[in-house]
Amino acid sequence: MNTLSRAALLAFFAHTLLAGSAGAQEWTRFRGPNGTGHSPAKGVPVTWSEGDFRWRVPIAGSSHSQPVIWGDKLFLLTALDAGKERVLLCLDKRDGKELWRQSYVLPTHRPGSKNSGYANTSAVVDAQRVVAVFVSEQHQWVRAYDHAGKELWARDLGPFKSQHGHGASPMIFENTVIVPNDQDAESFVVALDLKTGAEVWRSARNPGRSTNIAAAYCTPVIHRRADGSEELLFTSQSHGVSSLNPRTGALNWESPVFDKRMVASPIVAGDLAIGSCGSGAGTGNYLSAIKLGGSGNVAKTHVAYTLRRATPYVPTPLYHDGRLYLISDGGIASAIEAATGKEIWSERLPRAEFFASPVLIEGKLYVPSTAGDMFVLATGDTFNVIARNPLGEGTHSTACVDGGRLYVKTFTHLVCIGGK
Amino acid sequence: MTRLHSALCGLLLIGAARADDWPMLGGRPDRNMVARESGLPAVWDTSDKAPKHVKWIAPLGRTTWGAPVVAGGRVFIGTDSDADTPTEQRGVLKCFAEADGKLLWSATHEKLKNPAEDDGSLGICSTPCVAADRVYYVSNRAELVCRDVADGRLVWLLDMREKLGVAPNQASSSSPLVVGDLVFVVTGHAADYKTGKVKNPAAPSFLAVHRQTGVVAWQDASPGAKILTGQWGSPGYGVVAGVPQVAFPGGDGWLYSFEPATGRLLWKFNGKAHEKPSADGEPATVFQFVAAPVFVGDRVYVAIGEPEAGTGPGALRCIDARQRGDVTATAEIWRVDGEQFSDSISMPVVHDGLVFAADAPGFVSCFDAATGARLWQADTKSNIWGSPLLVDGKLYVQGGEGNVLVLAAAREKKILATNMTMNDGGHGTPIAANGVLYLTGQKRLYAIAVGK
Repeated sequence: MNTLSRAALLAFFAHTLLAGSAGAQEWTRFRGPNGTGHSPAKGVPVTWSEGDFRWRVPIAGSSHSQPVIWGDKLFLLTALDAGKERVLLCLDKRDGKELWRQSYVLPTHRPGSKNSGYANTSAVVDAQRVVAVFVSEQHQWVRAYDHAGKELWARDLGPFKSQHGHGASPMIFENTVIVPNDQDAESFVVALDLKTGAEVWRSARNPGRSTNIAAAYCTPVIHRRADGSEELLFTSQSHGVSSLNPRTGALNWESPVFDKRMVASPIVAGDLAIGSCGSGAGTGNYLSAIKLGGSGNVAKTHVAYTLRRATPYVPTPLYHDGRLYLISDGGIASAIEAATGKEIWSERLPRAEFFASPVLIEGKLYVPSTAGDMFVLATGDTFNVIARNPLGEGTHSTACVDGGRLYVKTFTHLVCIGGK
Repeated sequence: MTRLHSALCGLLLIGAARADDWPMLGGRPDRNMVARESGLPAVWDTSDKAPKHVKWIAPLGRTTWGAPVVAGGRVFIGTDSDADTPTEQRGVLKCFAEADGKLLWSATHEKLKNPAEDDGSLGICSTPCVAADRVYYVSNRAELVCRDVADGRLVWLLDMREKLGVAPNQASSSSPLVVGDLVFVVTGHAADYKTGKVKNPAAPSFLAVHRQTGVVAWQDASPGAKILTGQWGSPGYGVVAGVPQVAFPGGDGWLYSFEPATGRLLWKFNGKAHEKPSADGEPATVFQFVAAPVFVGDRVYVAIGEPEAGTGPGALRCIDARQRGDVTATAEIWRVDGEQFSDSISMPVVHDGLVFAADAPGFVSCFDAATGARLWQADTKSNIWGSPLLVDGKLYVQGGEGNVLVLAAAREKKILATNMTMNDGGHGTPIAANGVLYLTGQKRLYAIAVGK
């Protein structure tokens, strides 16, 4: 073997190893791979008891943050001192031991409630960096760290105005971190250079009008079109489901057909994008399916259908195999024929509230509740609760799935389930 | 007895047997939603295409939260700015003709500048109370307002913020109660939206006002610094073992009952008593009373929950109203909670030994009034904030998605109909008066009667 071919082979191996390593990262952002909620994991338990917990560690303060993982490191946000101290935690995913933390003092704009505190978002992580946002009425700090906890850069996007606080998580696209900022005052979306924090583009958004429903809680997703090009999808009351060019921030299309606050993130369901709006009162909530592929304001031309029964306000729907699965805040689980909006089933789960978004593992829905249960539901044409498993206490947080294990932030603990 | 006198008696008897006005939240001061009507439809269609049993439909505002009342040939309801006019948001009280739904007059109230005191989305949430030729309600500005029923002329107005130091939290929604010469109301005094602290603990939570003049008769600030978030409830009234009492739901999770004439405390009950106490004594929940207490016989039936917190835990209680003092440890006759009853801001309705109650996640349940044993549960699959109405053996329950269920008001569960034609579905409370069922959508008021 000559030097050249050896080098080529080494390069090939290096590439394979890197690709393999990158491919092995299963849950690096809110709702996992591209925000779909779809886990590639195999062997995650379907049933368990509290005695089966791999480990369970207390997490100080209050948070609804979904963990994200890279390698053996798990990143999680929490808020101490009634929200005045905001913390990014890095834990060892193998045992939950804390490796490092970074914390910041920020004012709170009102007392946190158990539904909306001061650590509602998830961090986003790649091979080199972890990025998180820390928000008060006066500041939106976007901060990047290396995996050892060294702060690499910090950027303040300015004030954030809303009734119920902040909840949109950042996402990474190529060499940028995308930060949504739809709020009740001046609104915009920015892409920041992942290495430096420098602004790559900024897309102006309509601010809130007289009411306080413009503040949105969506974490964007990428939609790859058939031709290989990409668009970035958002949900917000001001723009409905909207599409931006992820490299320039230019608006492709928007669908301002939602008259209430949008908390759930967008999902792609075949050739449709799904958005839902609502309020805590649970009256007049609805979900609309918007045909992808439009341009400009598509409100009058691209609404495929609108659902008005038992649609979720906070939980994000999940799309799988031609069906939409909805978990309403009040605990009604529904399966919908995604192409038509036709209800397949709609059934009540046992009394609890549901604010976490469901995730899909090996064709089953994992649905956590505020009463401390993880329901496992079958997908398909028949409603079937396969299991009702304990989480130790209630949760508002979406589960993280990595290496055959579940990681769930409950009200005061982080629990790890599964694996050998 | 003169012939005239006997003729009058006959008229009175006929009057009692036929039908009644419904002049306040719950119909009567006891807040027990049993209507003395009969022959109301169980199935109707309010769609524009094929209306059935629709007497009239009147336009409301953009989102309506309160219930209508009917008195003296007029229908009154609190709402907000008209949906189809691009005006600023306001609180609006509308008065319609009972006969045909024609708008007779409306009164408007500007929004407060601070949305933390008067949320931008809201109009008037209070259900009015009519007594003789006056209508009383609480405006979006925390004003107790008295108007002439004939033309809406302002008779008096008590600004509870300016005059009493009351600080509301997002909404002023108490529904006044008139008994004799007094009008009773929860002021809506609240913890500060930003700090969570009660700035002015001495400001009253509960109020009795002379109904002719608007002069305060007595006031009470018992919840004071312990108000958890806001106070959005309404008082209820009963005569228990010969003693009149008016009970106020407190934002501190306590129910307080007073001698109506004097404001002397008769009893109080800690609605958080079923929760585990925290280290500093009081349980660490935001359980508070929002639903009005319902008086039946010697008992008070009342639900508790966590307003602003969605559809989580709560409880329904039956309380002995004959006891005095702090009755928390001794007055609870029964309680349902946990897997049987959740957060609720609805008033239960009690009739023939049965209690029918709705909770926020959307269950309607029937309990044995003596024991609290659950007899059945029906699922509307939609949130419920309104209260069930019992009339002529039927229970009318409105869900938040425009669905109105009609069930048999009986020990056995029987769903008679599910009406799904209200396109502007909201958290309305059905009422019935003078042979007509009234349903409240977000944007329209529906008068439903057989054969129309």
